Amino acid sequence: MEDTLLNPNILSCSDSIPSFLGIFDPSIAPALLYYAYIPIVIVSLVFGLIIFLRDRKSILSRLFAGITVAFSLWVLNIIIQWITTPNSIIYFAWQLTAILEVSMFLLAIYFVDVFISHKDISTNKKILLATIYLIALILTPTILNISSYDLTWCEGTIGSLWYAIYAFEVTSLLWIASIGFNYYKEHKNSINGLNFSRQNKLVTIGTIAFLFLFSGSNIYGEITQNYTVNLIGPIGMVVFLGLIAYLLSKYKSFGSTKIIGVQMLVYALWILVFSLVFINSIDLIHIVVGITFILLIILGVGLIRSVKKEIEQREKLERLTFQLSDANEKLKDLDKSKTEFLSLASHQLRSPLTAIKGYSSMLLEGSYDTITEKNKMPIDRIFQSANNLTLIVEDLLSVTKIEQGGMQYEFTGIDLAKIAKTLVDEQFVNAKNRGLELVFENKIGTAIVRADATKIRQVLLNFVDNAIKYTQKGSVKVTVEAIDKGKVRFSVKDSGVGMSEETKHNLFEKFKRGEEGSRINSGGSGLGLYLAKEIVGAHAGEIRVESEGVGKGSTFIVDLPLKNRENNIE
Amino acid sequence: MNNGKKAIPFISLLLLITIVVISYTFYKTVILDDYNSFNSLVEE
Repeated sequence: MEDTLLNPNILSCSDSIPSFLGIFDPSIAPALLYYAYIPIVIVSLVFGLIIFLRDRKSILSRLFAGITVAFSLWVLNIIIQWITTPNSIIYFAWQLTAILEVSMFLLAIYFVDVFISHKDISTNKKILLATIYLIALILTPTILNISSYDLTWCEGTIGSLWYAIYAFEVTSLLWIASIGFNYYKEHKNSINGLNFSRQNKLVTIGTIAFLFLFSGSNIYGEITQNYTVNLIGPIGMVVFLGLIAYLLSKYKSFGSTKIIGVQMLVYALWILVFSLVFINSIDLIHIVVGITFILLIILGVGLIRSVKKEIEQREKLERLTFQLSDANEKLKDLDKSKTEFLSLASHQLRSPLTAIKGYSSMLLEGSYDTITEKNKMPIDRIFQSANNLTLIVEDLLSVTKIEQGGMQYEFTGIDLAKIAKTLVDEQFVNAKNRGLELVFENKIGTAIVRADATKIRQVLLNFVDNAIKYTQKGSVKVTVEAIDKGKVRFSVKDSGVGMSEETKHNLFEKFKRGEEGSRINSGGSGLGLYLAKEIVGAHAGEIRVESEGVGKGSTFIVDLPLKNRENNIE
Repeated sequence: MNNGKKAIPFISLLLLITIVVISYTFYKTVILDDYNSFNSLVEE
């Protein structure tokens, strides 16, 4: 017995010599162990870390990091089982396998559920998962887990717990499939279902593929007692990682970008290529180069497609920009031609109009013999219509001048209150004829502003004239008053048709007329208020309209800066 | 998705139990070298 206990074969695994750190013999494991497992572990840990650091608070990030940690520990545990020489440590490693495997499956179920349902799982489910975990954990040191240790082969003999674990692993796969299927069934007919199903299908299928390869190779190894097959298991992790990388680039899950997927592939390639430096077996070189080639194909195809897409989009954008700038040039030309045409047409119209106005006026005054009462009315009509037409032509000419930048202003000091008073007096008869009360209120006395008298008069006249035209009964009140910051306000308040919010918004634009006003008076050009705005703008003033709504009257307001001694430019 | 705070005590408890059980397993297996089946195999 003494001899036997001193025999190094009892303490250490018989066929190994500890050549590394006193307890490891790296030479006894199949070389594939290092080349299949180590890069996958490094890549999955880096991947897990990146995802975790990107969004530490998200459950999905935590679960994904948890899966990669449990997986890496499982792989590390397998490496220890292979290369450690003391039997006690190998035995300990065998005992840990169960809980690591169960953790991985439980985390995967949790992950898929949260990924698909977009919310945390229910407390009942959490309790169920925790119970399964605790059962596996508590049975870890018992003979139900590892029943004995075989000295000849330096490996543990699995206990009855493992049958339950294999059953649990198969159930887990069905569980995950049912989570995916149930969600698909529930949301098949909803609008969300369309966006949802593809990435959910991918995560469900990817997780199942990962776990199936993982546990399938273990179960197969157990049945055939050929543990080299186990080496295939972790390849499933590549499927899982590849899928997550794809989802990251395609759907930006975890709030990340395309770059992570490419980063992961590049890191994996670096590790693989660098590992070639240490390989002296030609077979292993074949394997590593094979894996590198496959990863390069994936990366290459991805990059080519991405670059192609990028170039196509840029070309499309350039083409559209060119078309747009071309269209813009054409529009500018058209606008210029329109303005020139308007200017020309208005000038041509003005001369015959002057003749019509002049002669009809002379006819009315009796310059060409006395006219009968019967003839007076039609001639008066001709005179009035020619007058209206002249106003429209004048407006058109003013607009073309503004657009061509040729509007000339002659600024002098004028009394706004006086102009307003004259205007009201002139319009008094007009208002009375329409049965309206026209009131003038001067609250300031004298209001000297620096302005072009003719043009400002045109603006004020437009306000008063409009108020009379668009008010069918009631009154029109014109007020001149001082307001803060050295400004004078000219306002015209009427009890007329009023206007909607939308009309108010567009009223000062070219050729825009209030819908309500158009019904009462269809003759306007829609240029008067546009001109008023331009003219007031050139005087550093403000123009606006207030109305509480259709049928509630409106108030047109112009604020102009008062001329004071400090800024007397004259 | 971000109710991670609630889960902390629950997960901490699970981690604590895990550490205790794993430590016990390590103590029993590696420190005490207590693997009966292994000894029985040797005696045979």
